[in-house]
Amino acid sequence: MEFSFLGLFFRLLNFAIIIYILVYVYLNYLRASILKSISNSISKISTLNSLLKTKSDKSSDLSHQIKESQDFIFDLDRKFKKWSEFKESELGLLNLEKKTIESDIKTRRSRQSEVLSNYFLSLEILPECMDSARTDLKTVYSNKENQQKFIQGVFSNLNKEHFINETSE
Amino acid sequence: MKLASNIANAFLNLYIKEIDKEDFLSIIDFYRFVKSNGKIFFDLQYLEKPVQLELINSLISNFKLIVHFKRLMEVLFIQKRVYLLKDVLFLIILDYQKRTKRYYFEMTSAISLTEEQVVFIKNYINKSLGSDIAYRLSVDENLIAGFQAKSSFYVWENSVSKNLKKIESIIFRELNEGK
Repeated sequence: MEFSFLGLFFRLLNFAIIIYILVYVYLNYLRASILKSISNSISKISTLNSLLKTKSDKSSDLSHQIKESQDFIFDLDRKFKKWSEFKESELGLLNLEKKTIESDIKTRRSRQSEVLSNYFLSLEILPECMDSARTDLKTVYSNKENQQKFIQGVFSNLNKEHFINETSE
Repeated sequence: MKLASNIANAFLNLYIKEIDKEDFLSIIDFYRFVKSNGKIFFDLQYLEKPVQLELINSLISNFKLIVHFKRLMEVLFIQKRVYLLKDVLFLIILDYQKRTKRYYFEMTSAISLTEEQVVFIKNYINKSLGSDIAYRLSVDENLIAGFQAKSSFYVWENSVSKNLKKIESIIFRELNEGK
């Protein structure tokens, strides 16, 4: 192949024309759409960034809330355990008290039943005892001397009362 | 009862000063008679007037009532209100005791009391009440021993029967309190 300046010149010219066409096409047709596309992309990226930031913030909030909830649950659990322990001890005391009361009631019932049985027995016996006493006393006071003694006894007591009243006055 | 009360009041207003202790006891005896024979008196109001008057005179003389009772009974017979006689007598007896402070006592004893004992009881009651009492004596063996002096307003009893009742009530009370 032979080297020639004319050939080189045309080649360079050809190359320059191609470059010019390419620059012309780029400047007149592609540039605006590329810039627009880039601008759109930047805007999308910006939106996405802002979304990402929002999501990140939300995520942070949620994490914070989850942590708070976990703390709350932990605290609640601790309190519940404490309350359970307290209630268990209280229940133990109540059971003890219940047992004491039951035992008291049992004792009292047994005593009351004993007293009631004595009461009814006494009620049954009382009229008979009084009748027997009445019969005995009638026998004693069938003697007129005893009758007189009784009356004199009443009179002498009255005399004493009079004596006391009169002297005290 | 209000009418009977009015009649009794009027009678006492007029004649209370003329009723002495014996008359008072006669009224009590008459009241007892009327109380136990009230139904007969109710029938007698339908008799002829002369028969009624004769009957009234007979009652007055038999029970030794003061003569003013004649007028009282005549009024009751004529007005056909003999059914009020028992209440009127009862109210006369009560009011008489209240007004004169001369209380009537039934003295009941397990055996007959001696005169001294009666005087003792009478004096004791007189002294306690500050008035002269009228009384009738009776015997009731149910007292077992001792005596009881009872009026419409007061009771004074010292008897074995009462003591027994007292003991019984104390035991009964103790039992109930213990229960």
